Amino acid sequence: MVWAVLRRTLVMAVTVFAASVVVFAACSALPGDTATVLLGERADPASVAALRHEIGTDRPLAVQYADWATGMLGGDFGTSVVTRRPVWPQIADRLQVTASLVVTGMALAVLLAVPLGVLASRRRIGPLVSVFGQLGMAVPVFVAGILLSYVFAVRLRVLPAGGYAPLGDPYQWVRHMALPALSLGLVQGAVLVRYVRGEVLEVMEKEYIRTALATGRTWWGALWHHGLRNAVVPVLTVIGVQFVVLLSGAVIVEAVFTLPGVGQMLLRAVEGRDLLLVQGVVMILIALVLVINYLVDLLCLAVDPRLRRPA
Amino acid sequence: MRSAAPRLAALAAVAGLLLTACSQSAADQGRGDPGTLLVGGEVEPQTLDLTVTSNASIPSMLLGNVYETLVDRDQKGTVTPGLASSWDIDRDRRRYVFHLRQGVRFGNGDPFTARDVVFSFDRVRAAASRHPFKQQFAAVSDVKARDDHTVEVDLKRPSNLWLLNLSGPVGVILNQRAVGSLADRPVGTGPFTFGRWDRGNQIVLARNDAYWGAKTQFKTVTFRFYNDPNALGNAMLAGELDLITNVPAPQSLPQFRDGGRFRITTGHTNGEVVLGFNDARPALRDRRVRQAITQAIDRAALLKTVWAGYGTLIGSMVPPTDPWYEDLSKRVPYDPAASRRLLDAAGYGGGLKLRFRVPNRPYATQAAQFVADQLGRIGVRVQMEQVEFPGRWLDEVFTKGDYDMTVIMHSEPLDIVQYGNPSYYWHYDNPKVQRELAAADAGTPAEEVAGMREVARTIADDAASCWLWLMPSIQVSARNVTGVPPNVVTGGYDLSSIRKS
Amino acid sequence: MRRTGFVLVGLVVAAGLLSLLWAPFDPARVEPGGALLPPLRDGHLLGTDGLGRDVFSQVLVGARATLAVGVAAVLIASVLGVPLGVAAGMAGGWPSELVMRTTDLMLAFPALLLALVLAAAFGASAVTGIVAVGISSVPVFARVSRAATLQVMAQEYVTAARACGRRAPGVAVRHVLPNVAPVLLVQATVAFAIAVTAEAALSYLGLGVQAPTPSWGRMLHENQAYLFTNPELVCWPALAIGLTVLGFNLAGDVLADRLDPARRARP
Repeated sequence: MVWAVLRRTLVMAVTVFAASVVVFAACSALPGDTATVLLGERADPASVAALRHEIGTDRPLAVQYADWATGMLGGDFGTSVVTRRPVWPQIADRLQVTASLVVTGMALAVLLAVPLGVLASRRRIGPLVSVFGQLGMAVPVFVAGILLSYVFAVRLRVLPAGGYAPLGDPYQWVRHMALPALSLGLVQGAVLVRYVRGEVLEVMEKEYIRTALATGRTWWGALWHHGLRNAVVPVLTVIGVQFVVLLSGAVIVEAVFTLPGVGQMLLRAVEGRDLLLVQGVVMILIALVLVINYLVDLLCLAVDPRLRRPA
Repeated sequence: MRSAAPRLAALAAVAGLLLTACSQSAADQGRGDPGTLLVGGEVEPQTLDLTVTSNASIPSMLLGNVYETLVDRDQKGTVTPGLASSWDIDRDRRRYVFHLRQGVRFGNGDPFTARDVVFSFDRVRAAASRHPFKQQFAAVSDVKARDDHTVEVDLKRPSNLWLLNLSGPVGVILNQRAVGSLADRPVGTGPFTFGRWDRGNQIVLARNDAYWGAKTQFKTVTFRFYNDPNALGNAMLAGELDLITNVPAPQSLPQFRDGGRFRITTGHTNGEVVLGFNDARPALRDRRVRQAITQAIDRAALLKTVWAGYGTLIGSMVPPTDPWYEDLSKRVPYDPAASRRLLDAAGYGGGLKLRFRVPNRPYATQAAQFVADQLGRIGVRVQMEQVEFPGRWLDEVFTKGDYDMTVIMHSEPLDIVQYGNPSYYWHYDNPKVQRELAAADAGTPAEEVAGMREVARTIADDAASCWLWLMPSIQVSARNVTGVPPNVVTGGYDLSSIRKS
Repeated sequence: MRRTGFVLVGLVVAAGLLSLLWAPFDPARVEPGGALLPPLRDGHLLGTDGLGRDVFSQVLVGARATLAVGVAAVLIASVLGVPLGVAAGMAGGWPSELVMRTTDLMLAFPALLLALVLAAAFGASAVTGIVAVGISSVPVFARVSRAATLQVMAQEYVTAARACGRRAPGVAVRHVLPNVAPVLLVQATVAFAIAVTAEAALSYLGLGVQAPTPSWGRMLHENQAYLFTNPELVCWPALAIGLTVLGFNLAGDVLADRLDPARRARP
């Protein structure tokens, strides 16, 4: 067990390091540099060169990377040239919004997918649920968002059309989060339904379930007492994998509902060539994905002892 | 397996939350309160320091509201007193003496004196200054405080434009103690003080109770940002805003027409949408080719389809709010037959191929697709390509000149002067225009108006660019909001005339 | 029901092919006088958009962009992913581990994030979108083909072939690839559906196929301004995207059921 955890931790650390190199290299390759964009159309070349020197983009790439990476280890992501503020607190501000969206979206998706997926594995209701799954998968996330906002915010006027309220005011937070989370959750839920259905079908054909059924348990009873635990591991893994998709979806949903999350910040930062901010956001998002998958791995270890043997 | 109860309880709790969320009606926070104004805007600036970037959304919020300038320009474009109650100009037009208003204080309590003017102007002019509009101060040779309330400015050469430019972002008077926090806590002498900035969401201005002039009705004014035009529209429809100061797409206006809940105000801006030619290309250096392109484009139809008919046809680089404006829109009329003849005469009748690099902004791509189709009809082969704005467009088209034609809105006031600058990205080099511009800048007010009018006509006849249209100012306000300033003149959005009942 | 997916996919392919030969109007043809016509007016089956361009022709020609993005993305994903996965599966040991870790890293990059950075670096275009979607599908292809390869390698005839002295590339081509192919075909339909959705999403953010090339995603982007006055302008491309994705998903399901004996046995 200890060895399994240790090994996964090491792999994650190496992957995060590799990711940081890739992110840095990609961001440094961006044409159109910060100084030119910031100073705009009427700046003279001398000012641009001076600014470039001041922010250090005239140094060798390796030095810039080392500087950035060592800073990050100490929690210092550098100071944005454009906003003149340290990068980390800016990201931290926005992370709350994106996290709210992703977590509520995922929660809704799971709440939707698990019961529906289980229902779908019953022959009678199956086709109906599959239709929902197929439709949900076919509707792009932003179309769902636009439709929901049109119906609930514009026509019915029961929910705000956009914006964010901090968690400190739970009532407003829920109201502002409802539509974005619903758009994300509906589409994501549709994807998950298929997996849940597949897993339940597979588990319910296992010997121990047949035994349970033979000893007089009902289908539902067998599923609840023996099946779910075994269906949980693959579904958890899928949720971990889908987390990336969810993040992409969140970037778009933030645009539809003007949520001030990291996605919106990233779009603006790319436009303004706020290089350190772009690097910081991308790095944190990727690290987040890796950590979530790592945690899912650990969770699977805890649920399923068979995984604890060394691979 | 553990008991099912906690799981079910959690499920019920979340479902309950959602239900309450859905059953409550939208709380219009602040919408009914005449002490607050909620303004919706599209682009949130990344910094509030208008001395380091030319981003127009910063002065739009701060100029005239938080910051003030020595002179102002009214809705008709006329220069009016600002922080200077009057000024004298000597006979050779090279020395300006400004008499400053007394008893004015900055938002942080500091008194406003001539030293602040010298400090602010010297900050623009300094050798190490990276001010984006430093060029507008090129004519200044010296700035001195004669006493606490008199400032003397000496120019190297007479310049009318210098005084006009003072009403823009380059002329804002900064507080010496606050320049360290220009990026996130601006301090000025205006009717509002900076309140707070919830990044990604809103900027709040608060009433300056010590303001020297007429006090505003609003205790707070909140600018909220919506990156998506539909979200901005939805917020207005859902009653979360009092005012949208710049409707991003006129096609969305019909949604505000029903039921008389809203008022639509249109006016002029400084934003000329210019089809720019790169005169470094031999074909486009030929006046006949530029004229042929101009005559091939039905600008009236373009405005109608691309911008729903909102906006003004201008025919030169002058908005109606400049003192020397005259209607030149029919000077080089739409005439495809004449256009073909001109192309033939120039030797490009057999086909001209142009690289049309367009910024990825809705107005530009829509207009460019229209232009490309029309040019195709006179036999010009247009290779259209979208370029990310601002990053790549600024770098490749604007700085490196890697393009044949482009479309971009020039929103700075008085940008007609760029036709006198051969190193500008058009590479338009016409000595006649350069002479006329210099003469107009140095002349008396009457000579200035006549001279600038001449410049506008010369560039129109020369088809220096093709001016597609002047971007309108389109505002939507709630029924109970009145007095929105229709025109954008200095680049600032003046809140002082707005009332809410 | 079983056939619906193939019918939808066939329709999209047919539309794309037809558009190469014929469309009722030039989709780029601007008609200032005929903007925003309702459906069936003046020969415009689905009416015209804000610039007076024929919507039906745009939908027809737009199928090409969608197919091109899908095909290209699947090609990139399989050209990079399959050899990687097969090689890893056959070699085992540390190369296999390396491939798995690399795909782990790649899986951590959200496709949209990649597209965003690529668009900033090389300009927003169909190509950057395709590359982004293609690259993000590489890990899935690599993993699926590695898993399938492992299965094949355990078969007796493969062991026999290797014992007879066949070299690895020969085994891969003769025995492994044919057996991996069906699984990959299913994966390709899934990747195709993802590519279509991704193109729409990128175009919604203005980072996908660029003007003047007609594409469904870009139609959505451009016609957004008319959402409240002419919602049908947004509906047509949205419908086209939805039906295409639906088609590929359904077809993928059917293929999976047919090609995977374990799944065929299920209810």
